[in-house]
Amino acid sequence: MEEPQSLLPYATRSDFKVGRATELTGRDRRLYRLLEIFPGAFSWITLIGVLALSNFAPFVAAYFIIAFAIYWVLKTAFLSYHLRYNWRRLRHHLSLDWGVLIERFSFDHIHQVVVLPFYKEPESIIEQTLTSLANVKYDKKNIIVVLATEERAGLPAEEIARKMKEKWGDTFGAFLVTTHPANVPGEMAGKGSNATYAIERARVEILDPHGIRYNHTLVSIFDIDTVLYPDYFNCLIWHFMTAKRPLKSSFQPVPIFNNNIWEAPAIARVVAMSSTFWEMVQQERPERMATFSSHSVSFQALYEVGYWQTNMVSEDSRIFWNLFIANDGEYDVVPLSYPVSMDANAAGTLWGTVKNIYRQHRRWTYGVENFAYVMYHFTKNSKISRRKRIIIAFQQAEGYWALVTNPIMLFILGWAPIFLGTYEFHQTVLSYQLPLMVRDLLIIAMFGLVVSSVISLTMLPPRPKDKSRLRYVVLAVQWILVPATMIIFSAIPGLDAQTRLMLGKYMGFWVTPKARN
Amino acid sequence: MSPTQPQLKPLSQSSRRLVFLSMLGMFTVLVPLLVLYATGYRFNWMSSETSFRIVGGMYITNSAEETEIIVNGEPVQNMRIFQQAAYIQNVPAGLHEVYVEGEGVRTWVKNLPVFAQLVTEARSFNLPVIPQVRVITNWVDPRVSAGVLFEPATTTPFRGATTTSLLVSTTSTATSTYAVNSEYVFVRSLFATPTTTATSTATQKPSGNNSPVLTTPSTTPILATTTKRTQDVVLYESEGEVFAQWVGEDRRRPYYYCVNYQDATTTAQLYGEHVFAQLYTQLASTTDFGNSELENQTLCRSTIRIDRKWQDVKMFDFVPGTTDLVLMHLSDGLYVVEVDDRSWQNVQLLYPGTDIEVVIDGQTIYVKQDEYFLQVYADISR
Repeated sequence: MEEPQSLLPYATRSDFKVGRATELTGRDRRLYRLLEIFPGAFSWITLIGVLALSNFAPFVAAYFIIAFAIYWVLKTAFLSYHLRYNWRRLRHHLSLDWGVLIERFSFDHIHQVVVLPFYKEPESIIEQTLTSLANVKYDKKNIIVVLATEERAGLPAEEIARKMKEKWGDTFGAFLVTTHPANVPGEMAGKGSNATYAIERARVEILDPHGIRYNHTLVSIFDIDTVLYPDYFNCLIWHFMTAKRPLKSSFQPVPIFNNNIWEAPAIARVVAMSSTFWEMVQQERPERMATFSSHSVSFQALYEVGYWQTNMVSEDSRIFWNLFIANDGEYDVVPLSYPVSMDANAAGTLWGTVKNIYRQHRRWTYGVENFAYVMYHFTKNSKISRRKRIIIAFQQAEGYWALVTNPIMLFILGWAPIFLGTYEFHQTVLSYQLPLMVRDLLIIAMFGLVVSSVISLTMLPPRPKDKSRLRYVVLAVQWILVPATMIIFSAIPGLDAQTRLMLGKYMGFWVTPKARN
Repeated sequence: MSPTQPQLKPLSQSSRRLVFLSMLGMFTVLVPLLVLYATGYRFNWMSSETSFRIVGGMYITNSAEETEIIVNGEPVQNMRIFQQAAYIQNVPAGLHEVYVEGEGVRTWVKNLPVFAQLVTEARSFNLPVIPQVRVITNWVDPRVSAGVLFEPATTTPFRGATTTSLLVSTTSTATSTYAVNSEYVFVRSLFATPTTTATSTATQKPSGNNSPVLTTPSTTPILATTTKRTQDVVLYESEGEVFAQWVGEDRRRPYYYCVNYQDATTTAQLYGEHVFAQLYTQLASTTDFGNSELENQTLCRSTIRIDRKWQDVKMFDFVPGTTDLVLMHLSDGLYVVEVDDRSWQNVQLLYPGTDIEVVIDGQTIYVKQDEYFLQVYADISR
């Protein structure tokens, strides 16, 4: 594809959209490779270090584990505080009439481009997404829908797109169906390459011919199962209009994975809600946010960096880092604290669900590839303030490290000194107190789950008639699965992803299957 | 007037910073406090003079359920952390009397030393007061799946034992309606095989703090004729005494072979004079017991003598599945003796009888009494 002419200066660099070390040469390649190795190596060193410490210096290991368990309790409390606050704010935002709030702005000139990349998802899912889009409280003539199909998905996907255009084509200002060609050299098959192709087609076929200005266009890229709440675009407009630098901001809603929550198995519900809660926590500390999953951004910002990267997996978060680095660090994520509904990852069988969740989380946690990208460009773009670079480097490193190591250390390695410690250690009160103390601290930390349980109940869609009221009890109690889900669907896939990156076994894009009963 | 913005603002930086600093403060305070607590330091709130004290602990494993642990006359509450183990916290340093008792089982009692910041381990065992046996008869009645006793129903061939077998008594000697019990044939063959037994006429030396001092034996002891080995422990007989010897790696040596050495007098008081005597005998050539640097060092023996109640030993072996309990066939019955000799060795009667024979086959203990074969259980849960 032709490079847009209005790229920001930094975005014109040949290595701006580097996807992996092998795309570079010389010193840059070695540096990038080192940065790819770093997160996995650091995580493995930590885990092996705790084991070694437990064996050779069990007293030190025991002190470390006690300190770590206290840290975990306090961290849980800290995150719960953010979660509870954002929950209040989310409910408040849902209760507002955003149409009234934006009356004072003139926004008729702003167009909403909605990009819906899809692959082989069933028609019913796309239908529900478009229905919700048709029901938003926003002038539909200012909404441009881009249904982005893949050539490799074959005729069935084309047929679905044709039917959707036929049904919804007149509802919106424009309805464009694009077909991303298969096997484009240099591209990785996935959402990023599809979306980039689609948005460029939208520019060429709709924005430019109609004279729609790029800085008057907001692009919302939604996963195909995204169901919008009626005031989404009004809420987006309010935040766009009041943002400190609207054209240098991405707008992040809260993804609630509850479309199919009543049908999904408990494990899928817990994992899905946990992901939602993490995003809610992040909404209250936007300086640590990157965009995730469905989100919105001005077209101009996208155009200035050449849209999404087409050569890597985590395009949803990478686009934020592209924008942040190309704008010399002067770029924000604005939390909307307003929800969009999506599907919990559930397959037809429990084992299928477990496998799908694992793969999905491995793909999400493969976002660690951003670490190498960000750190690499931090060494190149000195216009980003040093303070910002240091803070972000620490936050990123700590985040990826904690994701993988904390649950394992807490629930498994906490017992290591007891099994691996020396004879002298086993004779001590410390050896016996350690598991009791860690257990008690974890129980205290579990109170955070009570908060999660209560909040999750308030975020449920209406109960289907065929589901018993007793299901609410199950939905409340299911949170005891969290220790297991943290290890199986967070730490292990995270370690898997980091290890693959560390070894240079780069991952491809895995499309989460969407299916509803 | 309609609002122009949401009333609930995002969490402010100052609020977040305040919460973060509070958490950091709590972390800074809690880490040293909990580390001190975990290592045995306790703050004495109740005393008029507030002060720190340093405690130890006890870890008692026990296979018998429904038993109670009593330390210094006080029952220990809520102490089980695993089904078969109890960790007793906050035990002051010193010598403590521990009972493990329960209904229908023999009481295990021991004086155990506890040291500051250390945990004293012990394994109690509680055999049934009434021996638990299963009778293996020559004939079985297949109609009722029961063994057949050719005895009047009024006789009691296994006085003082509880049998789990279903038995029918008959005075008739006719066997046409019965089937031969193949297990009986097997067990009979076990007893038909000559077993090596060691007998002794030696008089036992004192075994515990409270044991009387006995005179030198007047008869010549019979030398050891057999040894038994399970994992890294060997049982052998020498000069009429039975010994347990650790032959494995030092770092895996069980706790009861070792002492936390103080000085000669204190060690003898805490563990028993016999323990110190054995320690001295075994280590005197390599260890200077007068050296004050030995204080709080762990000193280990390799051999422990097994109490035989001043009786002749007809047979000895490990209780199946254990390395710390010894089955001793003595003159008046079959006993179980623990290897752990701190303060003394608990000796509990498994099956009484002066005219019994004993064979161990795998995990099973068989006793022959008169013409009957019995399987004896060392576990009340049967």
